[in-house]
Amino acid sequence: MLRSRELKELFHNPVFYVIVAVFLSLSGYKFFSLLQSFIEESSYYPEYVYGSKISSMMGMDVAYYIFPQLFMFYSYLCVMAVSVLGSGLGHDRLMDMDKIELLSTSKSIKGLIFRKIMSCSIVIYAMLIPTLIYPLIINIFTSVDWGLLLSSYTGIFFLVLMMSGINSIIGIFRFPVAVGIFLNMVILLFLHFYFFENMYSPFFFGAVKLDVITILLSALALATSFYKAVRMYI
Amino acid sequence: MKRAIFFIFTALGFFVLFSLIILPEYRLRTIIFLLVYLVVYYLLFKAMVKEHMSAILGRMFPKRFKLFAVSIIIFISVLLCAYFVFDTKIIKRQVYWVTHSSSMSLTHEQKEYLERYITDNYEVIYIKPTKGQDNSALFNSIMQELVLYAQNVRYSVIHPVAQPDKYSQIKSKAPSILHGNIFVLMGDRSVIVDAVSPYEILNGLYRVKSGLSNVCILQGHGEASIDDFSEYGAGLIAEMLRDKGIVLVRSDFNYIDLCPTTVIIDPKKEFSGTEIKKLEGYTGSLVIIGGAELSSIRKFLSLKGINVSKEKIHQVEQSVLRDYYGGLLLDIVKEHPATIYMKNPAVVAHAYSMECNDCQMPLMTSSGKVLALKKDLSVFTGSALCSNFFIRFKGNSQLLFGMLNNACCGGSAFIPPDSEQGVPKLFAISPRFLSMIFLTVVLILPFLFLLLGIYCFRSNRG
Repeated sequence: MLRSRELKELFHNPVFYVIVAVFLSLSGYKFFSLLQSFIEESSYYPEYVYGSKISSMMGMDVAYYIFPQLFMFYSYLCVMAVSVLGSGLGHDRLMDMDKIELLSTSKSIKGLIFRKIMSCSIVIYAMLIPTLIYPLIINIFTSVDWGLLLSSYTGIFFLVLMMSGINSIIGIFRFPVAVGIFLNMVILLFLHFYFFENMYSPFFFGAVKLDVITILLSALALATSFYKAVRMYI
Repeated sequence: MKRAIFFIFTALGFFVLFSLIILPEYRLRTIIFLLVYLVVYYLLFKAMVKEHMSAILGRMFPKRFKLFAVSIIIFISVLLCAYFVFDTKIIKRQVYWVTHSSSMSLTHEQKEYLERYITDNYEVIYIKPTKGQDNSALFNSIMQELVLYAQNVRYSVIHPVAQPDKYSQIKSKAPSILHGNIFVLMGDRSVIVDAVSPYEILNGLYRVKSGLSNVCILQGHGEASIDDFSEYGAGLIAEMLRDKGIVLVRSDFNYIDLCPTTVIIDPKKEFSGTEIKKLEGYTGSLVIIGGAELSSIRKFLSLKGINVSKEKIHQVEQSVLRDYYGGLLLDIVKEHPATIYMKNPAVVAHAYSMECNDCQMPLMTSSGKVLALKKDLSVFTGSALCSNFFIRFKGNSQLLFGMLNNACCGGSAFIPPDSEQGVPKLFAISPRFLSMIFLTVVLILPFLFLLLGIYCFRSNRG
């Protein structure tokens, strides 16, 4: 199913580990700087009790301060990593091979794209696994809302999947780069709104928010209906 | 193209129906939207797919059931309409929602609280100020919305000069009330609210309902001040208690007998002999936190059968915090009746162990006997428990609320801080540990992957 040969090649490629090291040092520095700025900000007590409401201190939860911003940062890094890993590491060569393969055999183009998406995504997910150390560090000092993290990692999961999809389709069909950038931006904003921005997260405070999931499902129904309508009758 | 529009409308219908079920706040808007949708949908349906659908329905239902199905649909629709039309509260709320700005609106939690708990007869009266800023309009606007959710709340504005009888009645119940204040009355209980805002009025209703209005904080011996928001002050705990319906009232020994509960937080100066005698004769509940290094406090406690050791406890279980305040004591006062809500360690600068002869509740702590509870007396010897720095540890606020729960207001229950929300889950990391985090996440972890890359490179070459 998956392109195991290419995956194996990628995991044996030293450049991959260099990219992971750069990714981790950047995200680690971001995590550290956010933690430091949280510690500085939380020392300004009077600002947080303005208006006689201690509840305004809710915003001082370290996890809610750090992780939405950190995941937004990851999302940009992932977008860059998808394009680097997808095209930089011999992806074009693979594309040409696929075209030859496609012409010579009876393999479907959908299957080919799917395999490419999965290969690229798995590599990025492998890169993201070490980032679990950040919430674990925070968990030593205070309790972490794992629902927020679940939501954020789900968001990243979808993001990487979609970015890899766009990357693969653009690679095969040679769409204009502007189309890819536009689609990337739309997806990024959408995911930011529903996953990284914790207020609308479907798993806010660890509880499943039915209204958000319903809206997402309805939006999916609308999109599917639109697609079917366009395909069948226009 | 027409059929494409039909498909889009079908999906929109799903969206609206889902919203109708899930989002109760937007029902009126959604119903209007749904009606428009149904009309357009019907027209489209009639124009495009009626014959097709009739054939499907014909296959699904035999002719004699058609009338029955239509009747059921009409019946359900009528029931739904009746529910919305005759439940006037809902209509009122929707009318309010449509006609008013939502900037001053109550939150969902506040509405839920009003509906569930404010069910007795309450009276909320605003004393119109004779000079200065008049907030009558704001008060009326807030109450107009509030009474939509609280069934038995009545409200009025009185002018102290124009309505002297009413004002003197209120003054007799609450002598300290001022012009511009709000008087909240429930049966024979009453509280004064000193600001006009939805939060303050709700807080007043909560206070008058729970009867948790009188907790005095003794001042004058270098205690942490409730106005102080610096590291050593007690401003945060005062705000937290206020959020839970308890207003800490500053007090001294002249007025101590008027308070059913008195809290002494971290006194630094010795108490005089007269003051100790007053404390001995105090009939209310007394909570002493810190101050165990003062000989006068030790003397008072020994008279009550509690002997405090002169040796400080130095026990550090979690070294991540020991860079603060020199020696830190972390203590989980668990499975104690006073602290049933406590799950996290209390963190204090230092503490003294105690021996209690006839304590009402057993001394059960993990690292030292630092908590003693007797009838009308609660003592915790850990210093700085309530300071703005230490109260930021969740365990500290839980411990304090647990102690007050036992001491306050004739044993009526305090609402403890929620397990997750509402309690500031704050923490501190010492600079030493911050450096370790930096080393781990920025240098060591990426370096390990670089090493892996080098290993790969070498093995590929090999």
